[in-house]
Amino acid sequence: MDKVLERAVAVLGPLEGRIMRAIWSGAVREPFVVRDVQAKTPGLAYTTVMTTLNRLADKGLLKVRAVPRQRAHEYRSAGSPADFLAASGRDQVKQLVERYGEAALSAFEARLDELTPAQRDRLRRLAGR
Amino acid sequence: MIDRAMALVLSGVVLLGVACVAFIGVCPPAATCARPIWLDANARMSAVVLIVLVAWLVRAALLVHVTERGVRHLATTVAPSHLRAAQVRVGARRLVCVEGDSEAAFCSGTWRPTIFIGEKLAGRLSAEELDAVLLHELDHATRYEPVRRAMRHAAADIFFFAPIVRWWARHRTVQVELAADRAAVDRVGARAVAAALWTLGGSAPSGVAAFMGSAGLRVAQLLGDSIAQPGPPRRLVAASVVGTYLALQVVACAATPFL
Repeated sequence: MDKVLERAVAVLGPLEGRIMRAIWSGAVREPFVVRDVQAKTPGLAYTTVMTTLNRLADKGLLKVRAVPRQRAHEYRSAGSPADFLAASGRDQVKQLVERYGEAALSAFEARLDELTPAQRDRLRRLAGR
Repeated sequence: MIDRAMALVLSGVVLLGVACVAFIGVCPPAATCARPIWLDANARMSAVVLIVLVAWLVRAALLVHVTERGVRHLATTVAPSHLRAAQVRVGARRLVCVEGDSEAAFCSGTWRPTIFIGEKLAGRLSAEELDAVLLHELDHATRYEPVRRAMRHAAADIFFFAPIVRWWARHRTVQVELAADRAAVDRVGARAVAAALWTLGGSAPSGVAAFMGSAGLRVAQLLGDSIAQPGPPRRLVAASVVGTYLALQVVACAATPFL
């Protein structure tokens, strides 16, 4: 678990990694608000923590919820470090193939949505499905 | 964006370089401008060819460099036993398993082309489908396709004024994909390749720009249908002729103030 956590934190930037380490390791109990995280990350300003938490929420690492009659939002982790690593690997490869697939990568590409229904049917039969 | 800007800068360098050679070359003997004695007609032609060649190689090297940098950042993991078994079956020397939910397989590397395959994809494919995918990529690796592809793409960038070069680069890429499928079919049969395409077909990331249009031809080839591809469109040929003429005019214009 520690190895997975370290690898996941390494994929993130230093600030995001520091905050997610505190969350994933359980040092910050869920659900949490900005102040809870700030208490576990000494030296970081309130606005810095808030901005970083919002950025992490935009990236899908955190779930954010507005609490009625309360100014501060509540945050929760959207998944484990292993979930993040899996999704991160998928996104990295996707970006790589999108950016350089035509230039300097040869990918096994199989987009069947450009086939005619008849072609799809014949391919399915050939594939034994 | 940076990549595109680099292509434009290199293209500009080529034009300027050619203009410079043209300036030295057309400088009349009686003029005050210096004209190196050694720069005869053949040397001038060689200089132009050299400039274009260097720009082409630099562009290709940049493409390879940025791609390999991206590949190096991928998180990799130990290949599972069934993937290692498939690697031995097909005879692939270099294979890397990409950690995570990736459902892609690709070949990358300049001097030592390596097959990369997503951990999740390797787990989804049956043994014969996995062999088909690896054999397809192995064919690319054997032919040093990543570097060849970079060279073709670089040529399309450098000769941007002749769109037929880009058409040729894409046409050639499709041909290579078809050849890789044939290599896989020869070893594991059309059924296995069709099954791999079918399994992957529903999971390929949407918007993947790589070799758009080749899937239809690949399937047609597997089904034994005609895969005859038309030559370049006439308008593309015409645009290339006009583009090349305009590029030469730019060179001539750039050289004129110095004459």
